[in-house]
Amino acid sequence: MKGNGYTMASKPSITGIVTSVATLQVPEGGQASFNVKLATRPIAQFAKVDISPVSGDQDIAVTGATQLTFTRTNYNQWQTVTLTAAKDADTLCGQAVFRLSGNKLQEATVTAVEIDRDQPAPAFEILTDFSAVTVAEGATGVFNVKLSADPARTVAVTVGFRDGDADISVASGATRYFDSTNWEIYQPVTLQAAADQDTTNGQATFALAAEGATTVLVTAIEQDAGGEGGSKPGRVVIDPVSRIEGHLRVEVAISGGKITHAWTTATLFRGIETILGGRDPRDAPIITQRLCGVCTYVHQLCSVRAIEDASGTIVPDNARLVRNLTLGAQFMHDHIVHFFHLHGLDWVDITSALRADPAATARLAASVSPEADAIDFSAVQQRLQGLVNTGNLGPFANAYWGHAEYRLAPEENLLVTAHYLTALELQVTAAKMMAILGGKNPHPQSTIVGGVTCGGELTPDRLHTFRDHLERTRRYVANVYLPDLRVIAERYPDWKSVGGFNNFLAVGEFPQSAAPDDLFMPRGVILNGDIFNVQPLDESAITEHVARSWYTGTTDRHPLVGETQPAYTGLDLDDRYSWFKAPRYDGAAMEVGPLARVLVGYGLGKPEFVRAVHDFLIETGLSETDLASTLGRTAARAIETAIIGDGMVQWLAQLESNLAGGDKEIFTAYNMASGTGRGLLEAPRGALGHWIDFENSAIRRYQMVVPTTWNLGPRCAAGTPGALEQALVGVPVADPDNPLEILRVIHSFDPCVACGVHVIDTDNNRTFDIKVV
Amino acid sequence: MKQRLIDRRSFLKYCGTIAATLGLSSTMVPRIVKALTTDARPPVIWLHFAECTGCSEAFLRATDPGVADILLDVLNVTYHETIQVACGQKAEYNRDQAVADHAGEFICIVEGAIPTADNGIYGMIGGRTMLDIARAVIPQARHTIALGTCAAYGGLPAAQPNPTGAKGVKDAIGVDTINITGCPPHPMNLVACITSYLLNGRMPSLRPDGRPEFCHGSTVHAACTVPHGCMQGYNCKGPRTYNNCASLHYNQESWCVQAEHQCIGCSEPNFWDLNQPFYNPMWMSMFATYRATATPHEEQTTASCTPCHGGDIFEKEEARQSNPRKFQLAMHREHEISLMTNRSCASCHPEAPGATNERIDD
Repeated sequence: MKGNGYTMASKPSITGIVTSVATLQVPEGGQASFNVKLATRPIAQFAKVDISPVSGDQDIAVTGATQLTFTRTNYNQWQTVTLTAAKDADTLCGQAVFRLSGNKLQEATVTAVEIDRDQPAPAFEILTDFSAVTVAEGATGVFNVKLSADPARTVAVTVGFRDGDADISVASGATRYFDSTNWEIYQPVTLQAAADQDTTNGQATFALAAEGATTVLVTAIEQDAGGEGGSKPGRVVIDPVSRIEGHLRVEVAISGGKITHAWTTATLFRGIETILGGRDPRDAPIITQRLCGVCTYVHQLCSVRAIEDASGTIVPDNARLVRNLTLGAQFMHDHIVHFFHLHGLDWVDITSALRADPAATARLAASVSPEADAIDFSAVQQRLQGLVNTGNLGPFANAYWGHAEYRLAPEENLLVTAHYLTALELQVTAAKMMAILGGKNPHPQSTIVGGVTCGGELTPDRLHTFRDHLERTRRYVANVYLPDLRVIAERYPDWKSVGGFNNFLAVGEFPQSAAPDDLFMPRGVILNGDIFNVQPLDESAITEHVARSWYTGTTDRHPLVGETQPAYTGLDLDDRYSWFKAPRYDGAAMEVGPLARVLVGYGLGKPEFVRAVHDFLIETGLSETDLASTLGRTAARAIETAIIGDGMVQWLAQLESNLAGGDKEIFTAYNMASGTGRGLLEAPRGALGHWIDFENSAIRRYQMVVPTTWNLGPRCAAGTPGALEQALVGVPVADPDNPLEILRVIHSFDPCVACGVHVIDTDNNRTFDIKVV
Repeated sequence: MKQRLIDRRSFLKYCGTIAATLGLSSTMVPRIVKALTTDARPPVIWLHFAECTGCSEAFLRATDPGVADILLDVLNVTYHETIQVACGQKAEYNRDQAVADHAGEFICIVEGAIPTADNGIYGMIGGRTMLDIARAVIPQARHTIALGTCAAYGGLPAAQPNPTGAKGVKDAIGVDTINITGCPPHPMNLVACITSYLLNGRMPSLRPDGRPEFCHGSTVHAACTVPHGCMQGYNCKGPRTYNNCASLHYNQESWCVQAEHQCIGCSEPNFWDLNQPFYNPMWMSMFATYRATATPHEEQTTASCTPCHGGDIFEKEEARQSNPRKFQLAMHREHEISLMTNRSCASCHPEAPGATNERIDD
């Protein structure tokens, strides 16, 4: 058996005397104290500690008892010793050493320093955590500063430019204050390096000075980005974009109140595909699953499909149904959270809800959705008011509240705000469906190559619980989500012509049988908005471009032969500017996601889609052509949530019927040594593909083309912007300081950046040569 | 007590669950209620670094009361990229202002590892590297909670060959952290930790690796009571993984081993490298041929004893016991170590490859 990591120290035969300080400052004519205890339980019943002066200034003496008594029970509790410094005539700082000793005790000493009144202040030093800081050109670098000792007064530490490259300056923290309460807490000093024209790494020295302390120097080294960099005037930059998964930066150019150009930048690179190299292919599903904790199941299943494709594995019908139900649960959870918690506040002004009449809101709620559960709107309003009264709005602080683009009436705002809260509870229920079949959410664990593991959970009892959660979630979609969407569609009719795009791609989802093309949501491609001319998907037309991304090379490649190495060259919108790659279909940028799936289903005449879309168009008075817009994208997400909920009812019934008929198969054996395969899957955010190449049970190459790179990727080699970059052009921005409209368009795509950012290459143990020029 | 959407009864139930999770007596419940309803909500700054947002998602599944109550009534979350409304400079302003206003007071919750290679250029927020932000914010916190295995130990981004030089918070910037691990961690462990802090101003007691004793003090295996058989033959890392999954359950429904997938050890340092491959050579043959039909190990009587011990050894032993079921479980435990070699598997499962004495989980 392995040890638990704990070790017992051998018992010392002599007990040590512990003092709270080694040196003590005693003001002249005043007193100061220190504490004493024993390090370990004494052997004798009593242990006496004598405090006696050894040497030094006779003016300093012990006040009170010169002997402390410790027992076997209080040995580890501090006892206080007080020293007094008598007034003297000199102006020197006298010193005295006191010895603490006792029978069978290890001695300790304390040095007392008399602080003469004529002396300015106790000595302290300025400490920094780094003496040299790297600052990327056009960006910032930080070091922290604190004091070595209590200054006993308020001390200002100033940070001043001393010499060197004048492009480097103090961005914040030029003066930091310290006193007795905060002297040992680090405070940050931020340096910034302005974008410059040169291509050399500048260097500058900064001096940290404070009265009574030695000046300390910190060196800042600029890392040059190479030539011109940084954002230009007349641009709006949103960084970070919040209420999304991951780290995203968006920059737009505005002219005449409308966006003329847009650039989207993914700002995090994790290198997951690199990490996959050389590992067992069957480990890829649980590793790729960790690309994203929001759409947590999709990569796991897509990866499993790629390996099953390579090994020619057909899973049992029960495994297909369990996977459909798990993925369906993912969609229902994800879309509800996106609408109410991530996207909704672009349309709903929470602060306006405070002015609503709760009784009128109740009447509104009854007219919008008679079937919805009653809510005490007055209580919701009081609760919001309570939050406002505390002065801390928490996550709601400092948003674009009061923006003229918020157009809902106060009662409508209160209605949807109340649903923000009920949806927080509902999403917990929706996630339970996945937990029943997968063990937990996020990151369920039961889907494996060859099937699923959760056979023991497929009992009538557990599936009954699953159905309860499903029905509650479906009711919420029908009675709350869709009605709220109609409220927003009614108030923002002009958004039917803002933020649209014309090319759509769907790989299809929810296999209805073992046949590869028998899908609940069909596969297809729409070009130039021609929704009644859905083309079959040609997988070989998919390539990924890197010419404008932080990877070496300029050639676009099919994912199966993808080859990329990271090479960060600084943010340069005229050249490379994102960790995303740019997928293209036959050279064209494509939108993927709910709108693509709904339009493909509608265009192909699938009855579920035709019915749901017609209902929505009739209720809102919109037309088919209005769907390719921000509003249409947000609506399509709600429409497909309802469609998938209906599908789940069927799959659950089929699963129960199989089990009741004695078919309990959940796994099939397979052979897996070498091969190539691909998995396609519709994630809530859109089309996903995994391509794998393995040999002797070790991954040689692994590549993923994910929804958010389709939607939010940068320009390709030909300079064609990505789907969001094109959709943003023409969007009106009333107030560039508060660009609410931009967020509406970005959020309508439901960006999920973590899964967008990784590289392809998976050669074993490759070490990357990273250039920072 | 402020106006809540949930009723008092479920709130008390929740406080009782927290007391149990923390190992406190039920007499503490009234004090927990008081701690959670104070008006002085402690400021929280939640930083996202190289992560997948799974830890935040797990936190959003907190129940009784739900995350709405935690966000509105218990904590003052001033910066959280996934849930906050403010974007861009306004969000950065909120964070910097909170740091300035609450230096030395706020709780910093970190999600994700910190990329450190090449001066941290693999992760940027608002034009600053994550490394910079970490160094500016974290040292000023009263306490820093590294939430999830990535923030605590580097996690997946730090798996070999660690292309971005990703590190856990303590390794990256040298600040001591409270490590609540798991992929994702159970939300109750975070909530219990913060409740403990609200209760007496202190974080719960920690193991030497920075993980709280109350949730990471014993192994998954020690509390595992799954109805089906023990999964050690499936490369289960439960015996070496310190977490309370088995007693808490995720989403109030289940957990990995209950879904009949072995524990992959997701709360331990370097588990992506140390525990791989997760599906060892035995795995598929056991799942395909044995699992579907066989009796779980601990349910077996004679059949599992005779290949090694011969004859009616089990019945003889069992007859001497007052509680045969307890004896079965004790024998099962005693055999865990020897069952972890291929040879003893092969005695019942001729299809098992190898039949050597190599430990199958190494």
